[in-house]
Amino acid sequence: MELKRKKWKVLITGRTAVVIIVILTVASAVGWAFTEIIPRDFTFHKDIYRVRWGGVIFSLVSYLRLYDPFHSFWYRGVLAFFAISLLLCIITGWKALIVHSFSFSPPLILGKVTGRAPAIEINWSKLALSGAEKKDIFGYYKKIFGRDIEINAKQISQGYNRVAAYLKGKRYHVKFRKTADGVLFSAMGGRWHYPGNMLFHIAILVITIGGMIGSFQGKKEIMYARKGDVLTLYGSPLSIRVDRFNIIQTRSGEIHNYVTKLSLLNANGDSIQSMKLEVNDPARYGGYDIYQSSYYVDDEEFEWARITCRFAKNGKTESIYIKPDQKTKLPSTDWTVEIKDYNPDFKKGAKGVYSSSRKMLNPALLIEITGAFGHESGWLFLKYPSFNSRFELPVEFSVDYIEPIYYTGLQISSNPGTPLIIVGIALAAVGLLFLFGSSYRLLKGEVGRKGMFIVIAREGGTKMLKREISGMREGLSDILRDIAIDNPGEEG
Amino acid sequence: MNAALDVSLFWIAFWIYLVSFLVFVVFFAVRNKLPGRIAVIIFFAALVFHTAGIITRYRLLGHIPLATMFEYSLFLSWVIAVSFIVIISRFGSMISGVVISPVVIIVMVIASFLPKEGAKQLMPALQSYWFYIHITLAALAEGAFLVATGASLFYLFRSLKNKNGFREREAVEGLIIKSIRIGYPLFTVGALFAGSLWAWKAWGSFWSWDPKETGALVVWLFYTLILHQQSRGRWKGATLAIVSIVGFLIIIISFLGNLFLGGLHAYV
Repeated sequence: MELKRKKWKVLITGRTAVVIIVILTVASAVGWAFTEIIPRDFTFHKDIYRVRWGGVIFSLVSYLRLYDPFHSFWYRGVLAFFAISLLLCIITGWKALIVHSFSFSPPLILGKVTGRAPAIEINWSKLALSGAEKKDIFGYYKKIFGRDIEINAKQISQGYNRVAAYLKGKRYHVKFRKTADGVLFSAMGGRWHYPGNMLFHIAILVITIGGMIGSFQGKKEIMYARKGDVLTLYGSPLSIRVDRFNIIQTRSGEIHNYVTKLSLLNANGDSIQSMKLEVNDPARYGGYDIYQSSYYVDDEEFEWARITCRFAKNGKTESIYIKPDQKTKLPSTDWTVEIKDYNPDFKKGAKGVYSSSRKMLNPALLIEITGAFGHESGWLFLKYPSFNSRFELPVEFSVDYIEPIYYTGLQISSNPGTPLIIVGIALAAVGLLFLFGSSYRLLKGEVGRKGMFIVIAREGGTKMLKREISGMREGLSDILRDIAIDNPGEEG
Repeated sequence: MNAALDVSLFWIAFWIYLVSFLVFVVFFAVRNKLPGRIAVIIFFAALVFHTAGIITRYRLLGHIPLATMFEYSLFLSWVIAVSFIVIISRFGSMISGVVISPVVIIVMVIASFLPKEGAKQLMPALQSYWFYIHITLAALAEGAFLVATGASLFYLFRSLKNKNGFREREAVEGLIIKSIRIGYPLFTVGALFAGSLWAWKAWGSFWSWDPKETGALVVWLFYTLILHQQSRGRWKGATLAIVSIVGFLIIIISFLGNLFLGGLHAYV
């Protein structure tokens, strides 16, 4: 695409890129600060903050969405501007960066170069000299070539071949053009530098677009479910059923992992796939990602309790596992045990028994034993068994363990931008490898009847290249010296 | 193995680094190679204790010690110290000791204020190979940026003393640029990309605008800006040194941010 209108070209200059990066940096930093300045409960208590801050500040915070700046119109606008600028840079720059890096050509003439550009100048006549005068052969290009010794075409060709071989040894790509006076050549090193740069820019654009798609189109929902619960996947006839949830602990009691086993159900409720979720190991199906996000313990209810019965007659003990609302037969008897009430934090007041909190601080079970004798009931305390009720039966009861109800926290998300982000990250990694793994160098030169001349054609301001070209002087004069010294002016 | 041994080794290393820095200052003042060599030997001795401290902590915890901010700081300062050894062995530049040793000390001072307890069992979210990729690369990148900062401080200090320029100007400026050029790709891949991919696997979203993430983005944008200006032939010399120091301040805010701001990285 050709940008013909001059005013649009301002969008693709290096200065504009810098300005946009500055704006994005400042916007991110401002957003960063505001997420901490604005209280996190702002959206829940807007009325309170309206009174506390006054109408103007409240309206400003609301309008600019300073409580969630990274989803505000102004931040998205900055991101969009950044993306457009990147796109324009890529569209207008690909030719210069990619084509130039791969289809460079030898110069038609050795163009005008500035006096400050580092150069190598070696003339045949001075190569033939010896002693102290040799030191002078590396003068700047402006210095007039020395005594004009004719050198034949074969020697020029031989000289060029040696120069080319030398440059290739230094990982340059060399192209040449023969002229009446000699051989003009270009040598390019680090040809992957600019394509890497371009690839990195494309990747950042792809990631930005992917991120924006995810920001607008992505959905995320966190749901808590206990064993047996069925959750519907939003926007889909499918649902998932929690088959199992485990908190895996180490021997020392530290949490090692959370694992949920799920069944994916079709519209008829039939299981079509089993899934296992762990932290860092989500399940994916049909554009949905299902994560083991967190968990929740409900102390107000319990899954089951373990009750120990000690028989007075023979001292024998038996453990029974009882679920709420379930009658369980007591071993070796005709009695049944049933839990009639449960308080996670047992308290007894004037109005009777109640739970003073929702936490399992003093859990107590009211059990009822039924048999031929009729009914008998009493409280059992997990933490304070000495307060257990006494039963008019030849059996002592105590509660050993109460399993609370664990809810697995599942995050179900769908993000249509995911493939773009992953592709973008992969491209960016490759781009960075090329960009920082290779250093672009372009030299132009001539091997002619008067000597050889090489100049940095594209000065990236790199001191490295200056050092490199400085090192080349010695090497090149060595390989050229043989030709000039052995056969100065001799026709081949 | 004594549980406090790793912290003791850390303190021993700290004091030896401090002595090394003082000897480097003497070297810089008298411009004699002997104190410079002594300083390098002392620095190397400190690095040995430093390395021993990290290995000991690894043995004690049973996992690579990168899970807390103290451990991260310990590793970060180790990276910076190793970078000095690389520089001295490759370029023989003893002057870089004057630049780098105070940076190592500053990071270790920051570490000394952080809680030093370590957990044998990594929390479930951290039990991933991304943990090692993300944090190691981020530490290497920030280490490189901090080397640039040290060089920048030295540059400014010397520039203020010598208005007409100083002898090591070009070398120090080269160290700033090289360090940023090493740090930038590592930070991009390690802190941002590996972090995003891990977040996607663990939390279900590449980016959550958590304070640490936003801080990392600001750091990345800032160094992107420096590199763009560099490619345009701008921000050289003292300007480069100043912006490099500003970059360091952003890194520190990002680094310590989650201590005060909470967020998804609050456990680190």
